[in-house]
Amino acid sequence: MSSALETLRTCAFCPNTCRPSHSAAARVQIESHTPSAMSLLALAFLDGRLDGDSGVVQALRRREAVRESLGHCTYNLDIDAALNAALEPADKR
Amino acid sequence: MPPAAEENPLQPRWRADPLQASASAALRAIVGAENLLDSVADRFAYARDRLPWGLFQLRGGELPATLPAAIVLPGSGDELIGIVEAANRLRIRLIPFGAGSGVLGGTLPLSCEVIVDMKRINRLLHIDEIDGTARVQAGMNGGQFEAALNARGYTANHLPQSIHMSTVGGWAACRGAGQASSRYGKIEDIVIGLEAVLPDGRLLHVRPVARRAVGPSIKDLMIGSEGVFGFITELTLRIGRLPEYEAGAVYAFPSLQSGMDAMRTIVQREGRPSVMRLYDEPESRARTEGIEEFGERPILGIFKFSGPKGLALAEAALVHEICLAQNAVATDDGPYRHWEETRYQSYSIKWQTAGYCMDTVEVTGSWRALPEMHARMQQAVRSLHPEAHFGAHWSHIYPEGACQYMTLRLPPMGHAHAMRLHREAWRRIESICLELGGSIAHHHGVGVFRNEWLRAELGAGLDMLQILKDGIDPHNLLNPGKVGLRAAPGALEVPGTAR
Repeated sequence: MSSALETLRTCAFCPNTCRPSHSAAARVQIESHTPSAMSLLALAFLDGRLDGDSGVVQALRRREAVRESLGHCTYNLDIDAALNAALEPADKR
Repeated sequence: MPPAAEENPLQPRWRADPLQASASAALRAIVGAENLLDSVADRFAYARDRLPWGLFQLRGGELPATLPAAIVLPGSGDELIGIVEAANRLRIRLIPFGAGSGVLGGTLPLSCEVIVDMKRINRLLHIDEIDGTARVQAGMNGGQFEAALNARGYTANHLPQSIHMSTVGGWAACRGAGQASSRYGKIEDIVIGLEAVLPDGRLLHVRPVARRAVGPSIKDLMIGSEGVFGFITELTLRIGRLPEYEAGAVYAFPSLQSGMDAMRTIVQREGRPSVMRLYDEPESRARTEGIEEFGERPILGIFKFSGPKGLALAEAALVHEICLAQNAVATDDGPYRHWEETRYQSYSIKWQTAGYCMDTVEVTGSWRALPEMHARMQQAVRSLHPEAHFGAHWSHIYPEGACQYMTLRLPPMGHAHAMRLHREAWRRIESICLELGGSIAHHHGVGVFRNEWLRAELGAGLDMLQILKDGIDPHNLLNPGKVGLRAAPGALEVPGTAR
């Protein structure tokens, strides 16, 4: 869990160096779908700055861009796995 | 379990005015419901760009400014015109948004504006192999644009560190510079024509021609406008053949002055290596560990020669002669290879995710002023805190001067104290720059964070920009409060907000 949070913190403030892994034609270019935005959203959700009414739960399910970034991250991070690990305790509640 | 909203001390401080129902209906009718995002989560994700001060705020649990009221995603120029016309009817404030890689807060919503994300307008339209030009839509990713050109044997020769996380339109809107700028010019030299949607919805077409003499340059009113004068939708760029030959070289200089003298002499003697980089002692040390020559000559210079082989070799010979005349020696090319490998990485996990406050500031100085500029800025930043880091390099080189690009870093400390020192570091640097006759910004732009110093640099020129803004955007709907121009009534005050 702490390792997953550390990964999300690293990604949340990265300027999305993985962005070209998403096709120019793809909707996943949307900012709030990018790995960095998803990491920022997850951290805000986990520390209570975004509650369930904010749409954050639905937003965190939009993983296409996050999965496409796997292998394209400059820092070899797996944000999909980190999101799963970090959000798992919240999912179980 | 996350605490409920009412238990959260931060959330009530966010300013998050929602989009009015009439505005929401109008925008949905133009782009379709799926292309209007208005959940708090989506708005939160668009509430930042890469302004370091904003990231410090987010790290501390605060927002950099307000939440945007919504995000709209036009898929065509016609949809964009419809959005701007609706904005005029309903008084909706808009902020153009590319990939959000700006570092001066140019896309931060100061009064819950609507963000217009341009990335669906993102096609390479045409390559003209006779004229050597490419027409491209503004929302295309920079790295994908360059890759598409490379696949046809061409390059835009605009290679910023942010190439993969920026859009072509963003390059122009922020008046950016690439790493090969000393040879090929900056974005204003590379863009030869453009189309834009003005704040009243009219289309502006600047013909793509090599040059014109029809009054002041309208193109240059848009390049660097950061969205205050309109939305750039399409650009025509000069392109070139991929180089047939490339080689790097590394030199160790005995002093910063000798390195500067070499850089100056090279360009004044008409040498134009595609890359010229000079580092001060702290920055050199970080890149030359274990290379013997840097023991006695601590200043690093990196060069790259590109193009037709005969031309590149001639430039390499000229550079070699000039560097030797400055008592430099050629060394192992490890620093060049490392720079090539990491040239598009702009994120430091070590310094940007922990408690440090790291930022970069780039200014322009004349050759006569640069040595003093460096010495005084270094002293000014170091005197703020015993562990403050200051490093500089020069990589956009002109016959008259150069861009001094500085990295500042404050150690972990209390948030409020760090923010005070961070702003003070900027104040000291920009004040010294102005005093020594430089420009406060070389290629990162103004955004909101540099507003404070724009009057001192532009003088009456800032009034000219405000008069133009008032004329073409009388309701101040497009990106208000940026580039030193008037903010909207009730706009949030962040460092630099224009009143």
